Amino acid sequence: MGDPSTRERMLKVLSSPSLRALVLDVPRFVPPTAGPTPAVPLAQRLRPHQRRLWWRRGALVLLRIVVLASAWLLAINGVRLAWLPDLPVGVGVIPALLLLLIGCWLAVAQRPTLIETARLLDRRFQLREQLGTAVELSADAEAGPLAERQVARATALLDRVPRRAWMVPLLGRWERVLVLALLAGATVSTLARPASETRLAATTSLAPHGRQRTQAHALPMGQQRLAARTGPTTALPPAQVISHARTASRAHPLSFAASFQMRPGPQAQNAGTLAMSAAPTGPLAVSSSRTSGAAHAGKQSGSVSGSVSPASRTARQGSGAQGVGTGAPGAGRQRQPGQGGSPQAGGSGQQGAAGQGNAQGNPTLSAPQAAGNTGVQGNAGQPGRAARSKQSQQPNQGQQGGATGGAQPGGANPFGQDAKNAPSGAQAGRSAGSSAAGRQTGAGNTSGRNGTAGSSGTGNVQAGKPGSLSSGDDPRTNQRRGASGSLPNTKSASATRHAGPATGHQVDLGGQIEAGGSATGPQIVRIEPLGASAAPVQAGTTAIGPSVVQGYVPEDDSRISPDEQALLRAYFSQGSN
Amino acid sequence: MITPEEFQQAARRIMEEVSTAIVGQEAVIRGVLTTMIGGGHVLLEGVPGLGKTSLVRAFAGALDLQFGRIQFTPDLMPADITGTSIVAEDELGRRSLTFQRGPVFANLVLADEINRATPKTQSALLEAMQEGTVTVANQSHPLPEPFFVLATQNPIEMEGTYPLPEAQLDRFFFKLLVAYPYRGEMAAIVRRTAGNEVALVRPIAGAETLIAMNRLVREVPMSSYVLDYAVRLVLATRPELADAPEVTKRFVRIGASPRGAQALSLAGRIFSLLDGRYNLSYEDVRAAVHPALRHRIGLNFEAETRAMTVDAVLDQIVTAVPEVPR
Repeated sequence: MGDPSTRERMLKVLSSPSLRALVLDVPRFVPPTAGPTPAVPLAQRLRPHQRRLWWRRGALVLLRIVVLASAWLLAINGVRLAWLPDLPVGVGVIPALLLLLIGCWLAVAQRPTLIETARLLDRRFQLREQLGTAVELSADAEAGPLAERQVARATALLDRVPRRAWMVPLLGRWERVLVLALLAGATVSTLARPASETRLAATTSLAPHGRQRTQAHALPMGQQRLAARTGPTTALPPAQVISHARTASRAHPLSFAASFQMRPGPQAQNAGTLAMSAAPTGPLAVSSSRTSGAAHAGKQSGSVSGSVSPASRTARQGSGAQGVGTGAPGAGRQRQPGQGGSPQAGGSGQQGAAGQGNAQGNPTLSAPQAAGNTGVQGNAGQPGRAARSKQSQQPNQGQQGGATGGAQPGGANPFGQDAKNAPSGAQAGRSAGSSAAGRQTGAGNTSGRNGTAGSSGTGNVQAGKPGSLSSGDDPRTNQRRGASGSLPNTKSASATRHAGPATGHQVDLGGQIEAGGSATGPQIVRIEPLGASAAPVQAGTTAIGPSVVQGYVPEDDSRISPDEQALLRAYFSQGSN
Repeated sequence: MITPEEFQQAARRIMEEVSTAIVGQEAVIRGVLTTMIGGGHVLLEGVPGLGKTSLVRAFAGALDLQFGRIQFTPDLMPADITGTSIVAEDELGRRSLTFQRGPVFANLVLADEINRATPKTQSALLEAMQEGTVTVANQSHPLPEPFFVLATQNPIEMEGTYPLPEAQLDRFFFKLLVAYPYRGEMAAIVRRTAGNEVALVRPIAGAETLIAMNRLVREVPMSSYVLDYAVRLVLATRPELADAPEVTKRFVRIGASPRGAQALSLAGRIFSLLDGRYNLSYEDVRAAVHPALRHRIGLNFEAETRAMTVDAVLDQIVTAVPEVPR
């Protein structure tokens, strides 16, 4: 600023027409000192203008602050969205709020004095300093006759000055556009999430009565972290649920059950419970989002769930079977919230639902232990039963719809045991097929029975063929490991079943969602601690499962908390054992 | 004391009366009247034949003032202006030194082509212009009131002339530039002077009126911030000051004195009264900048080489000085 030419250039820029609106009136940033007190009539006529000028100045200061805060938000959010997705939103919002507070204080401090008001009126209406001089003169008791004339004239002039002198628009058209654009940009950028996060919005689910809301796009970025939890997922707030995994993860491959969508029928006549699970031996349950329909009293209920529950050795299968079964009304067991992914697959049979539950579940789930799951999950598409996931807290109760029974042993080792488990998966598939025929009914007896879940429902059963319906490839081993029904799309054997019109909601069973990497790009997956939680069951639902998606959670991922890492390690170590 | 309305009316009548003898030159007429109301002296600069002398004569006639004319030449002596003591013999034959008043003893003195006299002679007017007195032989003689010096000078034919010293120039309230008349004005001049009819200027006001007007002007209030603006304008002409505008530092050799600020405020107040107001405004001050300051600042060699005029420099100074200080 010492260079006069620089200073003149800056002043020239600042006085340019485009910025003139924002520099109007040159608001001060310190409270003014008291000026002379004019005579009463003059002061009375000046005070309305003084108030309006105060408002105008305050608005101007606030406008500037808003522009500044918007620019700051825009910049910081741009950095967050582009490079630092983990940057908390508060880094941008809190300074902006502070700025607004300061702006409010400055707006209050802009109260003009009467002499200032008079001078600004002189300038605005080209009164040639008559008002300002009069204010000064009126405070001088020894003013001469001309001074008295001047005060009288100024008082008369004030009566002719329009009261709305300061209500002119603060900004021109382009300035308004600029300000609005900044505001919109700041708002949108604050609400926006990084591009990788937006893919997560594909998920999931609502609680039976619409209480729980989909998590992914409802959560702020800072909460979308992988967090291991030990309790039932339904008891966890959605805000803790989401994270996204990296593509091409380096460490242990995990197949995650993808989300299910339960499409409710208008009448909760048919019930089908579809549960899919893959239960690695570790305590960490990795599951897809599950969907379940809430059962209605006296009606059939269907639920679909998929989970990978390390805590359970018994139920590991991704099943996307559609359970279509009919059972004695009331005989079946309803899934209760909090059972965490309780694989009430084929709930129809168990629940004795009278109607046909049509659960289109895209079973899911291929646990990282690939083989285990793959083989085990051969039961996809078991009619009359849904593949059931193991219950995270009740490992032995994890019923595997149809083929699940055979899955248990095979799925224990997530590492490279696919081949071994494949047969069991096949067997499971067969058993699933058989059970799908509706032979078995174990109304109410869901636990520990393999292939018994199916009731007498009439469902199209496509027993999963072991290995043939594998969900995906292990990028590490390049082996196919997906079990039937665990494919991420409806190609899986479990694709479609009919159980009549179904009603229901998407049910969010909690868990964490990971955008796992696979050969087909980032997918949406869910990681859930301690197995699937029991989601409320809604009767008459149809599961439309998008897929089983393979994802990979690096064991040493720095974004995973130490607890989670410990869980993962324990999980994998158990599996390897 | 007259009222502002009477002031305005008297001034308007004087200007109208002078305009009967002088075609056009409204700004000069207004400037001369302002100078006379302010009690100052005016320096008229223009090429020969523009009616400078006629203008002064017209004012003298309209104001019914005692008029004195001095044609300045290189051999003019100070005593030729102020007067001198001579030996005089009374009726009884007694001889004594008697002060013989010079032409400066008049209400309105026309110093024609003042720059042709030597500085010694020019300085003979210093005391008269500033103090209103003439000191000869250790005896001071007061000049009549009001006392105005209306000097003219020719900007061309500078050979054999003596530019007025700064001290002399500073004593002029205004320096007015008499410009060539426009086409229509020139036709009117020809028409008015080519015939036999000679325009007669009637006396409209007297010395008392001028004195009363001068007193009224000094009653005109001026706000502190407008006065501050006038002061800042004058200070902006001083190149030695740190916050002087760039144009001042580059082209100005010597800045205006406090007389410049006095002239600005006084002339501004006269302008406001002539405009029907009772207060000094920024615009009044700006209107007085050129006539009040153009002879009070001196340009340096660089300005001369770049053909910068004083008025151009003043324009830039006015632009550089804001009404509200930053």
